[in-house]
Amino acid sequence: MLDVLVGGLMATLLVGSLYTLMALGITLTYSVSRFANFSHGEFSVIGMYIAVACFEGFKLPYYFSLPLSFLVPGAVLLVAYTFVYRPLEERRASPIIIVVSTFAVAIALRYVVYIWVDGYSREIGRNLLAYPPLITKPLAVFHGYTIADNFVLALVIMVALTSALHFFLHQTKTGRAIRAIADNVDLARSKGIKASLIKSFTWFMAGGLAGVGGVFWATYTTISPEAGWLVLLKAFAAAIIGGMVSINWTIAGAFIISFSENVLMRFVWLFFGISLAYQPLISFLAIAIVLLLRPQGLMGIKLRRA
Amino acid sequence: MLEVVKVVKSFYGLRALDSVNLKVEKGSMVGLIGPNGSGKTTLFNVISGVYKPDEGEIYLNGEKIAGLTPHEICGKGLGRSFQQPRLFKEMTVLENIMVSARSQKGESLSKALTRSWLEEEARLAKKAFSILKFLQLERLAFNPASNISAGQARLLEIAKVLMGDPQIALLDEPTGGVAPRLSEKIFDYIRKINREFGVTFLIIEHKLGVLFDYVDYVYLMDRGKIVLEGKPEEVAKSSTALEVYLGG
Amino acid sequence: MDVASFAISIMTWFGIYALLSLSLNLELGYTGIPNFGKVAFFGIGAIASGALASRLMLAIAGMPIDISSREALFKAGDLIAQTPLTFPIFIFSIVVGASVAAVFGYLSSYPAIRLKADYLAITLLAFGEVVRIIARTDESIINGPYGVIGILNPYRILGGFQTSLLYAVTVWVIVALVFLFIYKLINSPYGRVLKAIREDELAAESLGKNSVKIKQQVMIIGSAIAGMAGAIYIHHTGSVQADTFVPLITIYIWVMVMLGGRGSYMGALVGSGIFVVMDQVLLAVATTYKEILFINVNYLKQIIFMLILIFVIMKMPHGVVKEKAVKTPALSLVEEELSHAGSREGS
Repeated sequence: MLDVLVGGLMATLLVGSLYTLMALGITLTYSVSRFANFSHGEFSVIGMYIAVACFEGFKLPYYFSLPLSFLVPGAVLLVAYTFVYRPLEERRASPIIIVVSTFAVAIALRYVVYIWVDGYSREIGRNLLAYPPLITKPLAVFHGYTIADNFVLALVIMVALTSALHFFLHQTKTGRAIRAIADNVDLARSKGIKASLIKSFTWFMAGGLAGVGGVFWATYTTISPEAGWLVLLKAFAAAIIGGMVSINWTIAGAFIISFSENVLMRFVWLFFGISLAYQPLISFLAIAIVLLLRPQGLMGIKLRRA
Repeated sequence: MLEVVKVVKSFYGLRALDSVNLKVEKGSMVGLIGPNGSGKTTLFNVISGVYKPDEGEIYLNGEKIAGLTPHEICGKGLGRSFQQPRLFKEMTVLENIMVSARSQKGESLSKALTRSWLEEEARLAKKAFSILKFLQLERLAFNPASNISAGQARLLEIAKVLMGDPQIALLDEPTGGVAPRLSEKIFDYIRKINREFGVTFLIIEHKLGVLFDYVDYVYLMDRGKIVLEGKPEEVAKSSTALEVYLGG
Repeated sequence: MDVASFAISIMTWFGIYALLSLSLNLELGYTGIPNFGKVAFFGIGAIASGALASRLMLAIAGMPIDISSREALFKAGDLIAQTPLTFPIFIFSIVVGASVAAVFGYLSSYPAIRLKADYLAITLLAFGEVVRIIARTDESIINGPYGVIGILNPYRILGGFQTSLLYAVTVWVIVALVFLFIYKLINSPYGRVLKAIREDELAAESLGKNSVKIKQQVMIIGSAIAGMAGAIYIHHTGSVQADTFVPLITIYIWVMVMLGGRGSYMGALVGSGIFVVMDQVLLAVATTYKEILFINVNYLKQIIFMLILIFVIMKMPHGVVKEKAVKTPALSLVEEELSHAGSREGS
């Protein structure tokens, strides 16, 4: 029993870090552009496959792919933003239309990945459509739970990136500009902030974060081009708990969901025999509850008291 | 006919309406004036059901209506136009007017599929045409509402309210941005509807010169309160009015 | 496959997609409700009707009701197919599919009314996934991940070509009825109210229209039509599998409706027609030339459809068929008056 609990808690930390990396991108882009980006998950998939390519092609462990997994998805998302999302934004297209376009981009990207995976699979003679998680190096065992290097790295990088993000947003000029834009674009523009440049940069960062999340995701789960979709909904659930704008509450949301999946769900399964296959329903349940009761997310609670 | 009693409405701790009392007698034309931001449109929003008042009550023909939804209040005979015309842009001018008629049989799901609404539709079409003709908009009947001038849009906005056959109509700046001659024409039309059909009017207006020639009674609002009320001549002479408009 | 069979196959799929497009067109195009969960209602209709049709078939054949047994289902199917009972089962399927989907449509109207577009998108998408996951995990509905097979085409006894032909005709009779329903509904004061709610809900409310009630009605009708399409679908393919109902299908319907013309029921037909032709042609190309091509045509097909959608969104948001004014006698009456008044000019 204790082992199950410990295992669950450790998994919570690891998976929570992954969700954090992925959800932060959603929160960032929503803050500056005010629409939901449904293509976000695909950038994690790009990150995943970059890690796979690094391993298959160069026999490098997954963490060597991190820089590339930040830059490439970031660049691709920037391209999508520049040629599709931003023109629609500027044209003041209705949110529905922009959301549909993010969907279309998501599917298009997914199948581009499929085509690449197909080709590369044939080239190296392995099936990359359902690729086992990347190899990690076990470091220690704690109450039956094997702590591997991805656990440590994911946590370290998550903490580092979120602290860096926090510092960036509060202490640097660019970061403060992002927050100004998130607050009130027109006001920010009137103060001389080059909104389009800052926004583009934010989108690039979001893609990068998703890509990095993808690399760690690749060490944890079976890799396939469809993985982006599952990730997306969980990331959205976390972001929604954060009201789509609060970084801190998004992180909290990520761990709340992770905890529910890895600890609560496990106990529900132990005591009530409910199949673990229902795990994804937790994030859906979280979304439904938060949106129907309190669309501004849990963050709204703090605002009221002020 | 319409009575607003001690209505309070706050937003983020600020009182947009501060214990407002207002009465509109049946068959009269009443003006509501005041500087920008004094709460006139907010009052309209509360009366028509867009907002629920925090305190106070509103009576329409003796019935309490505070807290009802806009469509319920409209159903009880209150019509309301918006400061910026809210036209249905992708629909034609004719469709805009036709849809503004209240309680159409054909609007219910079950009856829409039968032939029972055809007679009413024909009658409404004639009425729509006569309204359009009076406002000289009939040539635009098949234009999309997005394809008419600003002045025509204002006229259409008023036409929509009147098509709904209200007992009382709340008009929010019906002549906003419209030239003086046309403004008088609009008020002539409003007075005609008032005299011939007995429709009561509560009108927000900035063109005081025009307004005072037509209304029976005036309320002056400032910062959420009614600071002065009376016949147009009295209000026009009052120093309070001067202070409010110059100071505000 | 010869040309005639190919054509019939296209027509059948066209019919199914037409129903789904008409359903989304009613919700999105006319009423302004962005239904991102279309596949959920399609799936619910398919799953509910599949769950019941299969059990009904076993019951009528006097066999124990165990939908996990392929032999039992086939045996019952062989028995029932010889009798005219296939028709009542088929009709019952459609009614059940439509009704169960309609119930969920009603429930979904709550978020549809309360949430902003992008939040609604997430909620409805999530709902679709919930449906799929429950149906594929809980074995008591449609046998979990294995699904149910042996769903009967009502014309099976005729065999081959005639079965397909008559089924296609049946599907189109249903499509025609639904189309007629929508045509009458839209070209009436009710249709005007839908458009008004889409254009400016507050203004519509201020004119006395109960937008909440009407949106609920639209969600119920739209979901019922989608559920019907689900039932028709399973009787065509002969099986029902939870994993068929993925969000990609919702996007396909959006492609059809956006391409064809969002605000027009004719647009829904045109869009689904173009889509199904492209889809089936590309599929045929992929199958025939599988050996020669080095890029998987199925993958390319998806990319092409998505590029089309993006193109439509960016360059021709109104789609192929433009929206028209609601056709009521008011139109002709006013036209008459105008020509009498002698002042009919464009503006």
